[in-house]
Amino acid sequence: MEQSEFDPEVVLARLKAEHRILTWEPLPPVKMRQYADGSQVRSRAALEYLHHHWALPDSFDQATAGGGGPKAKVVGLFGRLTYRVLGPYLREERELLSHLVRVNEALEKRCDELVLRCEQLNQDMVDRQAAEAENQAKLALWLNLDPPSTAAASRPSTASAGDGDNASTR
Amino acid sequence: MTSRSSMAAPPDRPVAVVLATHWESRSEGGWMARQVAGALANRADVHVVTPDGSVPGSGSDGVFTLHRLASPVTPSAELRRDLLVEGIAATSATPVPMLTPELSTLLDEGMIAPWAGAVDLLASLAPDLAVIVGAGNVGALAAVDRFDPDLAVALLPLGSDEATLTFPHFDPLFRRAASVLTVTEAERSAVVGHHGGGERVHRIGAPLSANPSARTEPNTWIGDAENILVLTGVDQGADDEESELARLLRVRFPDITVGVAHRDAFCAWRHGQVTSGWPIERSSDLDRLLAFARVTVDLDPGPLFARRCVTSLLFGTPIVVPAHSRAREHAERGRGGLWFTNPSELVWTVEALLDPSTHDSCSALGLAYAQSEYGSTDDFIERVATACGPVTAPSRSAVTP
Repeated sequence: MEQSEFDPEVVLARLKAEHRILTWEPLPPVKMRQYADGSQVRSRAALEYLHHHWALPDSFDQATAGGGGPKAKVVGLFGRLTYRVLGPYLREERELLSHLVRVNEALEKRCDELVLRCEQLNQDMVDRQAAEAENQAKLALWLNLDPPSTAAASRPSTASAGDGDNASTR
Repeated sequence: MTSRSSMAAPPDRPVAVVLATHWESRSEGGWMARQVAGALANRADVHVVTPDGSVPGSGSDGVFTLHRLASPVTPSAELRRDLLVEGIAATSATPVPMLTPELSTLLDEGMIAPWAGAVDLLASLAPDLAVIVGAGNVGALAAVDRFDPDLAVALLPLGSDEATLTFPHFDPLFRRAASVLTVTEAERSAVVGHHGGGERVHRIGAPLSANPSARTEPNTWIGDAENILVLTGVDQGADDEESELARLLRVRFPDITVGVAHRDAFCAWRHGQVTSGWPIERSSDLDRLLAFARVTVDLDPGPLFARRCVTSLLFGTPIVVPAHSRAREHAERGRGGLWFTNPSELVWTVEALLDPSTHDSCSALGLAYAQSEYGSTDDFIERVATACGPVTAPSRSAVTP
């Protein structure tokens, strides 16, 4: 090439034309979906209520009968009688409720664990996708740099030489 | 104007004062300011005034007299100003950012007060010319105007980025300057494009040379074998774009020695084997590499005029540089190399310049360009003298665009 003919713009245009191949890029990794409320426990208020109200009364409260008149005495008598008759059933029911609360508590805990695990799996998948995309981007760069049609003919030693530090081996 | 005191020069030589926020020569800007002062010293007595220093005083510094005010501009003030300039320029909806008085006050905070002591010093020196170093040196301008609003002023903007050169807050410096001294054509175009007045904006280049002894002393780690020299601005273990590009080149050209100059080490790669050596810190060591390189790839060229690239051209070594850098001017206008915008183009351009005929053409053209615009100290002195006007009038016309 003559000195007067050397024009960097022309050289660059020629280089780009010579190396023009189909360009390819990997898909970008998907964004991790965020939960709308961002909380793990959805029914915290209901569970709190259960914790505070599962123990039902096991005896009649005389105050509910009101005053000290004959009517109150009759109501109190029937109330105590009712609780004495229904006592075993009410205790069983209270035991049942307490177990239901415990089961709900365990379910809540398990749900939280599953949500965390799902999020971790999702994050692991996104990380892996990002790593794959990065690696594929490097591979794409190498393919763009060295079109197979010209590499084999012009530079047979390039792919195998060097320190092996290239995208295809990583 | 105050009459000249006993500190001033004899009456037959003019007095020039160079006002620089910092006086150092590590950075390209600092080195350039020193060269301009040196060029002025051929025809004038040069006094350098800087707020730097811990103890105020004057002393000799080569051919200059250095006056330290010991009221340095704090790094935080400079950082705040730079951040504001960059932020406002980047977010402005209009080409010329609109500034409120509050922003102007914030920009000047900590930048003007350190120069207060310069006024009395200027009065004692009674200069004929003030050279203000830095496009944003509003403190020096304030001191000059307080001393004498009619004093001839030359501005050395050292504009590494267009945002600073065109920032409206600094317009008074360009309006006040009788002449503006730019280093590269890119800098000159930016100044003229925004401030106009092409006749008073001069491109002065820089005084550089190829060290002849470098041609006989190849670097011991790389020898005199044909090699690609890659200059980075990062450490060897850095995980960033420059490291990736350097790695790409050494893997891509396994049969050619690739010398990679990191900030903390020099590595010569060939066939996947590496020879490590000391970092390249002295200019003489860099010269020995540039003299024997087939191609110089500068991944981190200097922000003002890419000094390493010009030196490479002076050794006849073509350059490959990032497209968005000041070094591109040397490759494009000087036809001393090629530039790239992505890794693929980097490899293609290096491949192209390894071709003997392309290399030889580029080498010859680049060498001619570098010698013409950067290779003569005498021409540089003439250009500076011409740019600074009648105070330091040259004996012959200068080579300015």
